[in-house]
Amino acid sequence: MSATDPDSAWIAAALAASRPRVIAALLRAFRDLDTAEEAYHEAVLRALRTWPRTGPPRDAAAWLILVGRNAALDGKRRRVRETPLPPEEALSDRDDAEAALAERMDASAYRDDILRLLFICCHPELPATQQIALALRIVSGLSVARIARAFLASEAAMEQRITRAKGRIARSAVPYEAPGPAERAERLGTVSAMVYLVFNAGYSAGTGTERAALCEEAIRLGRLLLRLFGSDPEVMGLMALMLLQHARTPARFDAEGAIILLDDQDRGLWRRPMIAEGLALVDKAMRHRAPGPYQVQAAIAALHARAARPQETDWAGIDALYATLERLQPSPVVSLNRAVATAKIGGPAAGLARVEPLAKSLNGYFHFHGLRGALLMQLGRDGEARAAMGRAIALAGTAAEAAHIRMQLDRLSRDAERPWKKRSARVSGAARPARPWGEAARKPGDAAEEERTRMSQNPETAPAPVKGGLVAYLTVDGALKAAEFYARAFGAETVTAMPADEQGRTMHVHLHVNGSSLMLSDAYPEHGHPFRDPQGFNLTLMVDEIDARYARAVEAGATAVMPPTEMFWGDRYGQLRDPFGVLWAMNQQKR
Amino acid sequence: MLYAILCYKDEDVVAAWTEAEDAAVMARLGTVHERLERQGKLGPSLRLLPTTAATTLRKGGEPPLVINGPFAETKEQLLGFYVVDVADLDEALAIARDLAAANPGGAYELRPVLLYNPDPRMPDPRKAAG
Repeated sequence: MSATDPDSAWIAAALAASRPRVIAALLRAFRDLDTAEEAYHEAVLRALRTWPRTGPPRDAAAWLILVGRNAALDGKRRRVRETPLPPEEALSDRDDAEAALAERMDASAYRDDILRLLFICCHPELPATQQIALALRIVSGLSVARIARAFLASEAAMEQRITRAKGRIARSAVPYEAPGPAERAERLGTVSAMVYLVFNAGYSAGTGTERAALCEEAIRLGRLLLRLFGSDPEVMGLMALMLLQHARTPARFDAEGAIILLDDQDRGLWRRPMIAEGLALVDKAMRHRAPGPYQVQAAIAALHARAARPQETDWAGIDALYATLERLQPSPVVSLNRAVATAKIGGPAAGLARVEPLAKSLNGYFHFHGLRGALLMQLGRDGEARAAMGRAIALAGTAAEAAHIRMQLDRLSRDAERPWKKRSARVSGAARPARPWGEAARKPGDAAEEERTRMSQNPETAPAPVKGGLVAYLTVDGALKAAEFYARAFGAETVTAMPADEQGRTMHVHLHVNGSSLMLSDAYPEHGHPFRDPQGFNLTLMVDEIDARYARAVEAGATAVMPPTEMFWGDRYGQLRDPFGVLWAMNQQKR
Repeated sequence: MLYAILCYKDEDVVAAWTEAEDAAVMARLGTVHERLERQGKLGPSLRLLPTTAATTLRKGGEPPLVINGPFAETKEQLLGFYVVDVADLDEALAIARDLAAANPGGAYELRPVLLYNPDPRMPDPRKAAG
C-alpha cells in the first residue's frame, strides 16, 4: 500500500491519525502495554482487509478500539474455548455497537487515556533518550528501525532498549484511575517536556538526516496534546515554539551543512504557514495572562519571526522576555541568551557584563565561549577573543559548530593583516558611546552597520573564500612554519593566518593549495587538542607535470617516499613526506 | 453563478500526513486548480489552519465570550473552501468530484453564494482595464 496513492492513502492516514487514541483506550481496557499493542495490530490487520471493501468507517478510532478489544478478548477466550466472534464486516459504519461505543468514549475519557499513555513513556526512571524512543514507538508508531536510525543505534540495540523500557514500566504501578485536576496538570507538564525533548533531538540534527524528522513527529504529538488541552496556554506555547522554530529549518543550513545564524538566514525560505499558525497560537496564549516558560520562549521566537529583516528585530522586546524567562525558569543558559539581546541594544560591553558572571557555571559550554569571544572581538580585545574562541573550538559538539568558530577566527586574522591598531581604534574609539551600537544597528541600508548587528562577526571584513567542498584541517607542530614550507614546496598561498601567540603557536591558518583550501592549526594540549603523529592518510594533489612538481617539493625539503611511477591503474603517481610528518601524494591522470 | 465548495475533513488525518504526503495531495489538487483557473472558473480559495489555532467569539453574552477553538466541535472540520463560477449545480458537482478524486476522504458541501464584498484591497479589474 503506497501512502501517496489516493485510493489507499486515506486508510494509511486514518490509521496513523487514530493510533494514539486507539492504543490509549486499549491500554485502559487491558492495563498492559504489550496486550494493547497486540490488540491494536490485530485491529489494523482487520481494517486493512475490511476498509477497502466497506469504505471508511464514520469513526475510524472507535471502529479500531472495538475490533481491537474484541480481538484481544477473542484471543483470551480462545485459550479457554473456541468461540469465534462475528466477522468485522458486520461492523458497518452505521453499526449500533460502534455508535454506542463512540458515545461512551466522550472527549474527556479520550483525553485522560492519551495523557496516561504519553505519561507512562515519561517514567522518571527512564533516561531521556529512552522516553523519546518509547513515545515514538508506542504513540507515534514509528518502526524500531527508523528510531534506531534516528539515534544512530543498531536496530537490535534499539529493540532491546525499548523492550527494557517497557519492562520497567510493566514492573511499576501505572495509575489507571482518572487523575484529579492537580495530577492532570502535573502529567501535562511532564508530557510537554518529553514532547519538547523529541523536538530538540530533531532540531539539533542536520537537515535531511533521519533524526531531523523527529521535529515533525514532535509537532504531531504537540497537535495531539493541543487537541486535548485546547485551552491550556502552555500547551499553546509549546506548539507555537515548535512551529516557529521548525519554520526556519529550510534556512538553517547551507548546501555544505554548515549552520547559518539567524541574522544571516534567507528569511524568504522560512515556512510561512507554520509561522502564521505559531503567531496565532502565541496571541491566543497571551490572552490568558498566565505566562509560562514555553509561552515566553514562543514569544521570543515570534519576535524573530515577525521581523522581515534582522535589523527590524525588536531586541528590546526580546531582552524583556528573557528577563521574564530568567524569573520563571532561572538558568545560566537563559541568562546567556539574554546577553545576546542586551548586547544588541546596549552594545558589546553591556552584553559582556551579563556574560562574565556566568563563567563559573558555563565554563564547559561551547556557546558561552563562542559568545564571549565574539563580544571581546567587537570590543577590539583580540587576544582575549582568540583565547575564548580556542576554548569554544575545543568544546564544540559538532564539526559545524567548530567550523563556525574557525570562520570567525578567519575573519579576525584577515583583519590582522590590515593595520591591526586601526580596527581596534575604530571599534572601541571615542565615536562609539556617542553613537550607540543598537541605535545605529536599526538604521536600515547602512551595510557596515548591518554587519555590526551580527553578534558573532567582525564588522569590516568578508570571510576568506573557502575552496573545495571538503577541507583538510591539519593539527601540526608549527603551523606557521608549515604554511611557509607548503608555499615553497607546493605553491600554497596563505589566505589568512592568526598571529602567533607567545609560544609561536597559531590557532588557525587558511591556505589555498592547488585550487583547494587547506587549514592548519597548532596543537593546544591545554584546550584538549594535543599533538598526534599524522598517520593513516595522505593529502593527494591532482597535478599536471608531476615530475617537475615532485622535484620542487623534494628540493624544498620534503622526503621522497616513492618517486613518480606509472601505476597499474595507468596514472603517474608518487608520494613524499613533509618535515611535519604529513604524507603527501601527487597523481597525474592518464590522458 | 457562484458556488462555495466547503471542504470538510478530519483534521487529525490531515495532520498525520507527512510533508511528502501533504505535497502529493497539493500537487494532485494543483492540476485541478490549474484547469479551473485556465477556464476562468476559479475564484478565491483558502486553506484554513488547524482548529487548534482558532478562537471563537460567542455573541449573546455581554461582553461576548472569547473561547479557544472552533465554533463547533465536530468529527470533521471545515478545513478550507473554494469559490467557483459555474453555470449550475451540476457543473459545481463535477468540480467537487474532480477535487474528491485528488483528495479523498471527508466531504464537500456545495453552497451557492452571493458576492457580498470582493476584497477591497485588491485593485478593481474593471477600473484597471478602463
